[in-house]
Parts: sequence; C-alpha cells; structure tokens
Amino acid sequence: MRCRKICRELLWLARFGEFGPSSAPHLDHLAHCGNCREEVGFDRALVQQLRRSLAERIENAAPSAAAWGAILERAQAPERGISAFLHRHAGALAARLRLATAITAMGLAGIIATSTHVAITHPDAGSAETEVLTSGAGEQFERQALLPRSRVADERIPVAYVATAVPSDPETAFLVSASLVSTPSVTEPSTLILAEPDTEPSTIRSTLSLGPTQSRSTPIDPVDDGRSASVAPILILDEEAPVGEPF
Amino acid sequence: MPLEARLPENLVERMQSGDLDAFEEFFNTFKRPVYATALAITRDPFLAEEVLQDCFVKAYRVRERLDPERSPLPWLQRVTINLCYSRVSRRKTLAEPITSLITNLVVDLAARPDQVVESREVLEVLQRGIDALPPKQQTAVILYYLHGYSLAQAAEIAVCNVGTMKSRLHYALKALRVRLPVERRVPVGTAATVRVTTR
Repeated sequence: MRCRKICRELLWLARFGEFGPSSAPHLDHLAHCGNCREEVGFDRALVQQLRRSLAERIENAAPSAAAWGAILERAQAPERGISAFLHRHAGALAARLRLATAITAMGLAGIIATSTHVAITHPDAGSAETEVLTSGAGEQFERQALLPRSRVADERIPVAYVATAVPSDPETAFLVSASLVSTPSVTEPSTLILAEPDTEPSTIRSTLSLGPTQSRSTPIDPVDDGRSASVAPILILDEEAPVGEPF
Repeated sequence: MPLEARLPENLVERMQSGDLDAFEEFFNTFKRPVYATALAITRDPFLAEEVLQDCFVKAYRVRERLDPERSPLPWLQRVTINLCYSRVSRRKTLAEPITSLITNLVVDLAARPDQVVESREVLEVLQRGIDALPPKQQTAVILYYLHGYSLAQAAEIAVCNVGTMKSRLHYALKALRVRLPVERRVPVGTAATVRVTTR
C-alpha cells in the first residue's frame, strides 16, 4: 500500500478513535514513517486547537437572567401568525375541505356518467356484422361475414340517358362530352356517335353502357378480355360541338 | 450535558400538564447546552439569547408532542441549530471569503520568523475557518468537538447517519487544514522545520 493511502486511512482512524486489530499494518507503518507521524500529529494538534477555539466561543457565556422572564411571557401569550390560526382552526378547515371534496367528486361523477355511453350486450347475441358459429370441437365463435366485393368491370350497369336538348353552347357541349367520355383518346381519337335526329328533334333517346374510367395514367386492365369493348361508349354531342381531349 | 442524562422525575409530564414550575426546571436543565450551541454558531450573545428564547417558547407550545421516555435535548439542539442558521442567513454575518483569509496569512508569514509557536493568531484563523464552513459541517464540528457528543448522538441531532457525520467532520477538518499556512502544519510543541513550498 502506498504511503499516501496509509496516511489517509491513519488520519481517519485517529480522528474517530477506530483503531483495532485490523489497524496493525497502519500502526507498523506509522512507527517507521516520519511523514505519516507528522501528518497524524498535525491532525491531532488541529483538533486540539479546534476544541480550544470552540470553547473560547462560549467561554463564561450564559443566558441573561431576564431570559426566563421573557420566555415565560411569550409562552403564555396567545400564538399569532398563520400557523397559529391554522392550528386553532384545523378541525373546522378539515371539515369544510371534506365537504368541498365530496361535492366536487359527486359533480365529477355526474359529468362522467352523462357523457359516457356504455352498450351492454349479451355475449351470445353476436352483432349484425357477425354470426355465431359452432366449430367441430363444439366451441362457439364469432365470424365476421365476408361481404363480396363487386367487380365493376364485370357488372356493367346499363344507364339510359335522355337528353332534353342538344346543348347549343359549345362550352356546355364540351363539358357534357368530357363527363361522358369513358375511354379518352390516348392512342386513337374519340369515338363520336351522333344521335340521328328523330321525329322529335328536341329529345334524343339512347342507351349507354359505361365502362371503367380510364385515363392516361391508368393502364388498361390486362385481364380484360375485350368484353368491355363489346359495348362501345356512346357520346351525345352536338354536331358542331368542338371535340377535344377532356382534362 | 450528555444526551443520556436522566431528567428530573416526571418533568416532561408535569410540563405537559401546564405546570410552569416544571417548565422553569426544564429551562434550567437545558439552557446551557442550548445557549452554547446558539452562541457557537452565531458568535453573538444577543442573537444567541433570542434563539434560546425562541427554542424554549417553541418547546412549551409543542410540549404535548415531547416524548417523556426520551431526552428532549436532541430535539432542542436540532431546533436551536435550525433557528440559528435561519437567523444567520438573514443577517449574513458569517462567511468570510477564503481568499481574504489566505491573503492575510501569507502577508503575515513574510513578517514572522519561521519558528512555529502556538499563537493566538492560529486560534483566530481557526475561528474564522469555522465560521466559513458550510452549515452542515459547522454543526458537525460543534456537536462533536464542542459538546463532545458521540458520532451516533451527533448524527441523531443532525438527522443523518453515522457515516455522513464522519464524512462531514472529515471534510470540515480538511477545510480547516488548508486554511493554515504550511509552516504551521506542525504538531504543537514540536520543533518546526520550515518547508518551502510554492502554492
């Protein structure tokens, strides 16, 4: 062990009088090391001086004779200050605090009860979206009904459009053509089918079959076997209406 | 006054029943250690007496809470220490900067012979060193070295464990040690050899 460490431990032992059988190596070192003896000696001298210094502070000091009279007077006087007030009225304050707490708690419970909806259902009841089934092992379980997703491409609903009149305004005619175009002319120009003027030129009756909306960014369905092409989209446009690509 | 000192018969019980004679006896029994602690911390007799009065008035007001089976001295000392530090911090009478202390000592050393003697000045250095200690270390020093309480008793009063009390004393002595000039770090009564060190 290094001398410095031994010296530190020696100081600790000497300060608190904790020498014992385990201190033998330290004492051996102390017998041979002049520096450690000096350090420990200085520490003892320091403690002696410290005791003297402290004793000097209270030398011949005693409380005055008037101290007891002042203490007695103050002890018998009623207490003042916020702490004394709280001490005197602790019971009443506690009762009021309890009442206020109870009222607040009831109000809070009322608010929670009126703003919370709890639906209680029997576990066997299931729900509109689920059905209760029994497994092979006899266990009951709920199964959510599988709703078939309709394929729009296969189920084309024929829609009948009845045009009240051919729009005379070119802009309106353009908008009508834009809303009815199902296959914009990406590679080929739009198909324009004009309705033949009937005996009643004011109305045109035709049958349209709408396919899936396609645009430049929507690739043509590769699965589509061309059935959709069997029903060509029908556009109702004025003869003079400008034809362009709707965007 | 040792903490284990036996109290007069039923002193606390009589005081608790409102007996003012018992309270006077209580005061006379404990006034010296309480006043000594107050004076050692504040170094002001008037302030120490104020603390003494506050301490005993408080003891009378909370007399129902005193345990008749135990000595009230640790509690009284604890209250005294707390009152002292609250007043001292208000008045800011303590805490001299260390640098000024060391400067004074260095100047003084140059004018003095190298022979170390136990002098009045060393005591004054220590007094100022005690004043400049942190409150917890100062309390530890006063309880252990002035009152002579054991480590356990001092720890009980300071509301800490024995190891903490030892540590506080260790650091207090270390702080006092560095305040002394190098030439004075020699055991009292032994011939001194001057060590030339630069700091």
